[in-house]
Amino acid sequence: MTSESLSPAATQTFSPEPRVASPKERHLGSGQFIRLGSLFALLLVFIYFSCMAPGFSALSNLANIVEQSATLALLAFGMTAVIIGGGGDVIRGGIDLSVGANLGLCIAIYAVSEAAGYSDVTAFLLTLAAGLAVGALNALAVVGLGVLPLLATLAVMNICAGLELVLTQNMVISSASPLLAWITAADWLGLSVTSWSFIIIAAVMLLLVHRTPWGLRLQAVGGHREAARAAGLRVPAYRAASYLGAGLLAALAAILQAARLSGSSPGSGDILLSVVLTSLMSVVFSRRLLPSIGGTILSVLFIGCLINGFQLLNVSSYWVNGVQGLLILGIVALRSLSDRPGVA
Amino acid sequence: MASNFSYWLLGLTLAASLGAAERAQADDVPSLKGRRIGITVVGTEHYWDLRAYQGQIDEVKRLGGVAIALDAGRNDSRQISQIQTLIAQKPDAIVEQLGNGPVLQPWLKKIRGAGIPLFTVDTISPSSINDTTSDNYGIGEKLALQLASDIHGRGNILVFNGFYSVPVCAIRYDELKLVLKAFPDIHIIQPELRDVIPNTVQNAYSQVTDMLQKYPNKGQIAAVWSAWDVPQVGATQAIIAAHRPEVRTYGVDGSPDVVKMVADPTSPAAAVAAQQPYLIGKTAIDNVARYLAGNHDLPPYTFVPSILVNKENAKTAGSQLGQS
Amino acid sequence: MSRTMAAARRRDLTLAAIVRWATPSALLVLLVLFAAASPTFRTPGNLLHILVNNFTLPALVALGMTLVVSAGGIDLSVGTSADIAAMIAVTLMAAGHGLLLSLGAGLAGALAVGLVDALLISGLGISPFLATLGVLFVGESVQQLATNGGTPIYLVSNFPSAGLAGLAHGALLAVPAPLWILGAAVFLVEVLLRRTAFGRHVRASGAAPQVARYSGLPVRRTIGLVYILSALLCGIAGLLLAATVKSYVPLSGNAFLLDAIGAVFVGTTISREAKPNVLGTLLGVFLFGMLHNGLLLIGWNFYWQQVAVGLLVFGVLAASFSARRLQARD
Repeated sequence: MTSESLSPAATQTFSPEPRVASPKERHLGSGQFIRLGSLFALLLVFIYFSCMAPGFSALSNLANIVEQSATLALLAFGMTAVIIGGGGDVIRGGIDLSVGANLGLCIAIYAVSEAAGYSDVTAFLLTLAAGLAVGALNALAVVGLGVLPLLATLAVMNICAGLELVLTQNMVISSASPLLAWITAADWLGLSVTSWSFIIIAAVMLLLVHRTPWGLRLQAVGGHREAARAAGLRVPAYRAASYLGAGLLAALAAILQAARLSGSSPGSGDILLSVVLTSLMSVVFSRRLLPSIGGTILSVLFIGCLINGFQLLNVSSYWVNGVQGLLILGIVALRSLSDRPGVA
Repeated sequence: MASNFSYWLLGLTLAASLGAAERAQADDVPSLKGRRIGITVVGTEHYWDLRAYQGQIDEVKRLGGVAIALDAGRNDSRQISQIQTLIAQKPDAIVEQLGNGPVLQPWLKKIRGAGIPLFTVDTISPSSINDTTSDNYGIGEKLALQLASDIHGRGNILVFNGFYSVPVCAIRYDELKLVLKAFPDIHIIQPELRDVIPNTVQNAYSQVTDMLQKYPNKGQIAAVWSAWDVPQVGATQAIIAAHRPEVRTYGVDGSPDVVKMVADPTSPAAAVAAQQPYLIGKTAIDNVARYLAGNHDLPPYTFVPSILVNKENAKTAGSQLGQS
Repeated sequence: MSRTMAAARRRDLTLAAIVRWATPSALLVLLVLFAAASPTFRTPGNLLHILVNNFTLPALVALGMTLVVSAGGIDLSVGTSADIAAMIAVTLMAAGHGLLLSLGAGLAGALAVGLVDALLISGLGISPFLATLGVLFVGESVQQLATNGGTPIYLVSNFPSAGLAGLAHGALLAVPAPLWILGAAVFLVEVLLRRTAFGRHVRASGAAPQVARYSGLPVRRTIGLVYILSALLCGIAGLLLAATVKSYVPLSGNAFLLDAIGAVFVGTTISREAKPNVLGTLLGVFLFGMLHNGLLLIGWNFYWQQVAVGLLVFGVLAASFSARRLQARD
């Protein structure tokens, strides 16, 4: 923690704490233990459901799980990228609370554009523009003006949610465009357009963040901002890019969701908490206990399997939230117990 | 005076028919043994929704079947995922309750496309074999007429119209507008209020309080209308707290607490159109059982009677509705 | 050399002043605008209505949040504490139990939530954001299961006594009861934060936890206590809400969360050290409440209110953070 002085001209009160791996982590491999344990738990849950829940392991059901998780996945990729680029500390580092509201706003813009008579292409482009605009607003606030990400994205979230309500008047706006029809109807190798979007975008994000030089630099910026700056990286550009990316992904998810709901329906923004959960849960699936795209993919599928399996087992859906909560707590308890101090 | 009497009479007639409808149904329902029935509802945090949901589940069990009961917690996206998975579970029939029409229609079509018989509760759909519901046209009309009569055909009213996308709410609202055409001295204050979920009561309370502040003189607001009765609860409380008991409230559904409010002679709650949700749910499942037993001649609608509970009949209405 | 230094110092002071006066100015400007635009707005009855209905409950929650953020954490489970308190109290009252017992049990429920938070954060060392997020999720499940899907419990006919109504609608010396309760809470929190050793420990833990720990301060115990206090304040808010609407509506507490966070951080702008403080928080809450009420009275579409609040918070944050950054650049 940088030193604090109480004079008026103090340095920024909230500066990000560098997240350096402790010697214990690097050496012992307690991270490995957690990761393997989590993968094992995932496998166990999968096997349990396959045996006990009728129809779980049917290929069509697994395809359903992928499709049902697509929106969550796209938003979680954006959130993970922001967290990676901003540093793992949730308050002082990077986070984007506006992704859910951004999703809702983009869906509303698409539905309203279609209803106003614009063509598919125009509506699609307007939606993408909207998502990017929100991302740009976040980037401006966080990187340009230096506002704390938690607060900046909170304010932007309110703006997006409000704009969505202004556009839709809290009512359902239905859309039936050729684009949406194609998304719902088209089928390739048994998987829908939505499922393929999940797979393709997951692959792209995985490569981009973990296999390209750009991605490695993003991780460096998040890992230790000052060191990255000293090494000559243009830190603001990377952080801004992560917010723009999150906005773009929200717009893409919005198109998929609009197809699923045949338009815009209030309450799309409620997905935020699940997005935060999956991004943060991705740490247990990664070697260095840091958020990662691969870990995010596994978390998303894990949650999807849980929800699906519960339904097939006729377990009440009221338990789902509780299980998600216990999951978060279990995971972070595990992680903090194996790695003290310096928890993010 | 005369109009009040006629409503009392109407209420009584409806009440009498309640018992008859119930008796007719109990006898001839085939068994659901060995059958799995999927029940999908958009949410159960409202008394009506919960009772209808329970009515369906209880009836499936009573007839010997297995109920796959899914509550989407007021989230359209979740309901769609549940329906998608439900289709894969291949139940013998699916009953869908409430929700947003435009969002659901393509998925209801998919249910039929998968060869699964679809029945609905309070949801109008071309894909549904049978929709069990109250006669919302009648409800909307009678409630509006009661309102117009109570305020003697003149005054400004507040209207909560937040859920026009829900078909039954749209019907009631349209009936209100239709009836008000005949009463040019009744005006709806603009802009109309929007009820919300969640936090319906607190939000309605807050909005009505603000409106009472905006129109502070006695007589400036005559009544508050809402398409269901939870906003009515908030509105009534706000009116009491602001000491403006001359403002009357009207709603639909008939949760027990609202019926009690109407029964209280000092309460601003003037009338509520009480439905019989448990019976509606039960009736829907009975229709499913008949269909699966071979009767493919069911009508597209089954109306379950309701009572317009007002100050005159509220005391007796409660017990007739099966509420304590 | 000294001339440029003097100029820099003057500019620093100006920037600092801009930051510190941003929120009060916004408040004043809006007050004047609304009073001019709507005759109803400027009646004393309306002002009281804002205070009682749009201010008291969010302020109680925001007070708890002020304590937590002062200690360097954050509490996403504030809604949960409020809801659990209301749930227990209303369930008991509906079953016929006495007022004091029900309220006491409700507070105990909120206390339990605070204890869970404290154990997770101080005991296990879990990050506050994640710990309280987990409690939020679990709390939602608990409420859904307890009410069979989220059905509210109404108290229309089961009032144990006039006491409950008095809590929400009564008045002492022409000041409504909820304001008395809030006043007491404000006094207590302010004294706690500024005048007790505990308060110093809280602020030290928030400003520099490592230093505080090495100085021998009981950081963990302090942080744990802070979450318990926050939960208690939210519990009181939940009970007041239940008294006002005479019911328990599941999951309604979450509506307070975002405004509480927003108010606390908007409030930090008026403090010289940019730290959370009671007055700033109250100003923030009042700003939001007044905004909601004012926009409704001047007839704006209901839904623009949320946009307005978001834009306002954004503006205040942008002004204060960028000004601070400009200062720090020297």
